[in-house]
Amino acid sequence: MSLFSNRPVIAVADVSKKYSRNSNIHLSYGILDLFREFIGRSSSIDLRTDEFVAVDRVSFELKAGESLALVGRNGAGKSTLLKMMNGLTKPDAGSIIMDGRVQALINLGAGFNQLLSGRENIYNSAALMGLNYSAINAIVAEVVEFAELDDFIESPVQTYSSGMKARLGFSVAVHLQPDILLIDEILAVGDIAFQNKCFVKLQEMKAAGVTLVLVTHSTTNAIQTCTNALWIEGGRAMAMGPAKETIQAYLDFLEDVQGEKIRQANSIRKVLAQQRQEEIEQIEQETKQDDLVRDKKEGSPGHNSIYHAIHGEFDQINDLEVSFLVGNRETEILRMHDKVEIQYSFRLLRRVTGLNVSLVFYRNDGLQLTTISTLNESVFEDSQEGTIKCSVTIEDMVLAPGNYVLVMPIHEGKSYLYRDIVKEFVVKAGDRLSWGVLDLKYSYQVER
Amino acid sequence: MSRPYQVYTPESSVSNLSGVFRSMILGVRKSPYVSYRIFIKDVRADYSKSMFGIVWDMADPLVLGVVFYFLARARIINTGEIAIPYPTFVIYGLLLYQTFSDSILLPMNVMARSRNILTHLKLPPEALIASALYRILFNSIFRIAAMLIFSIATSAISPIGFLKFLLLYPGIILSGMAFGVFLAPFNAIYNDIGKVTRLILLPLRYASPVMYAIPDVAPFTYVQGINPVALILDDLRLLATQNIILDIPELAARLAVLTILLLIGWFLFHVSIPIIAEKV
Repeated sequence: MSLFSNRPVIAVADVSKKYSRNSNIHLSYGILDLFREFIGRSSSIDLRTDEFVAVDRVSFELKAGESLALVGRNGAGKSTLLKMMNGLTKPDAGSIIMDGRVQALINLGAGFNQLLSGRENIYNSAALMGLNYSAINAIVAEVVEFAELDDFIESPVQTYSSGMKARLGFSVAVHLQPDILLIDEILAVGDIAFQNKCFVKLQEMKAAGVTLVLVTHSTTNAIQTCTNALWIEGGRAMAMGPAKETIQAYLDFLEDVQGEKIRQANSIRKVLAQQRQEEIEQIEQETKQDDLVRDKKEGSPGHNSIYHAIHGEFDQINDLEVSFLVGNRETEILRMHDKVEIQYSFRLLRRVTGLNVSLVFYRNDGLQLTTISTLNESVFEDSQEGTIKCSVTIEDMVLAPGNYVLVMPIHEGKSYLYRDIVKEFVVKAGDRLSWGVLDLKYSYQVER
Repeated sequence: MSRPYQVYTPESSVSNLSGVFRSMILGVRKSPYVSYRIFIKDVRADYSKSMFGIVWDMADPLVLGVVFYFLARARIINTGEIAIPYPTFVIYGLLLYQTFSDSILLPMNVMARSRNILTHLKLPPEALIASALYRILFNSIFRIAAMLIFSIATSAISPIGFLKFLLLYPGIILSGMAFGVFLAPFNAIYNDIGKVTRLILLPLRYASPVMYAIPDVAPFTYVQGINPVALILDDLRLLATQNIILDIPELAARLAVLTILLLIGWFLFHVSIPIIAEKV
């Protein structure tokens, strides 16, 4: 068959696969499956106790030179599908046709011996991938050069870093001249320069007619490397089509899932804050200004978190409310470049001089991104009491897609009256790709 | 190189017997180099932190041999009628039995041992069997050398007989591998099978003509009828030391049955790999 013909080189038709949640308990399943195989009975998709469908009626076809990214959450069934395509395990329903020499990179270290040198491991790995001695000799110099291991190639692999091992493994696999290359989430290792080199190599292979199936959690890699994508969720194909659109649908789904989690977290936070406030009010009533309350009013010492100091007691303020509004609709799920209004209100429990309120934006991993503070403007009067209500408008939400945390310090001069997380929110991508922490608004002018 | 075309379905591969046989033959053709690499990898792993390596494998039979030599000399045990010096008798017995035991256990454990390879790489099942065979042959080199040294030292050797011994030596490997390969898929799922086999191999050593000639009384007589190693072990020792071979028709019949068992075991091993790959 010539390259780039119209006949599919991979045809996956209605493929299903079941697994046991605990195969150590159900050892008998293994023996039964073995006997079924020995007496000529087909595998069955009927589920036994503790079994679940890991891949559920998935179908797709790929022609020579085409590339497919398999995306989905952990446990979605991507690797299971890849293993079936490589013939490592059998489907329980459906069929898979692989027309060509298949090379699978499921685990770069598989077959490596830590005690052997890099060079000896090239012979080991390539032999395990199906090459004989003379064929390996023909590629070994090229593999060594591509892996950029220089003098380390004669050192035992146990002295290698994980990145060096990955370089060696990848180099071996891509030099075996497969017709179909299956890659399972292995390009996340190694330094950026080598990763880039790998992707260049993959593009070269695609151009030469190699069909590529890539399992990845990096949606950027998926879009940049593959023309098509298949999104799998709970074993089922949710969408398949051009990589960008399919991955966008997947990202929207992830954001919705994340948004739901954040909505739940925000409501729990609200309930907890209310409980804390009620507790303090109850103590106040019961003890009428006793020592405990006096201590609290003098300011709690607070504690540290990845979002810096937290002073979450409602002993100096209460009735705190914070909401995000987009087009008059309250939400915790924003889109990049939305116009967002943040409304907040709270009640001061005593007269405060020099009141300032800030809104500190953190990425959920603790990276402080920016702060909006009344310290920059004269928003409040010198002396304030009672309920404070304020609204801040952000004309353009430039934060990149991701999960964020809003911390609200309320201070009198230098001391905190309150400082705690008041909101978790999500910024969704919309229809734009974005890298880094911000997405600036810009325009191009191309001169010809 | 021809372009391979693979179809994977839930159907049992047994339903296409000719396809399985073709794939088995292809596996043999593809195996020599890859199995050699697996063998090298395993040997290096086993002896990586050892100065004496293979010497330790020989230590067990040698120590047992010395113990039995002194027990026999002090007439604490009755060695039966033996025509060659006892040290040579016992060393042949122990080392040949160890080869038999290796030939069962190495193929039997090869799937569990290669777990990482099986779950990540597609390689012919024959390569795993062949890697175990390489290992048995490698260990045999040292054992045969030890037997030769004892034979020469005690003048219990027939040069022609020793050459015939070398020709028949694969027979004892076959006797063990027939069981090892057959049981390997089951042992990969229930490793109790490996444990039971080890347990059986221990008393079987004493019910075989390893350290003494088996007396012609019950229950030894009955055990000899089904003991797969007794006859070939005796014949190998007799050949090497005296150029004698006994019960040729029975030996040939036994080896033929064991060959059939090995072929069945190979077939089961081959078709079970995709099932085992998801269970190990």
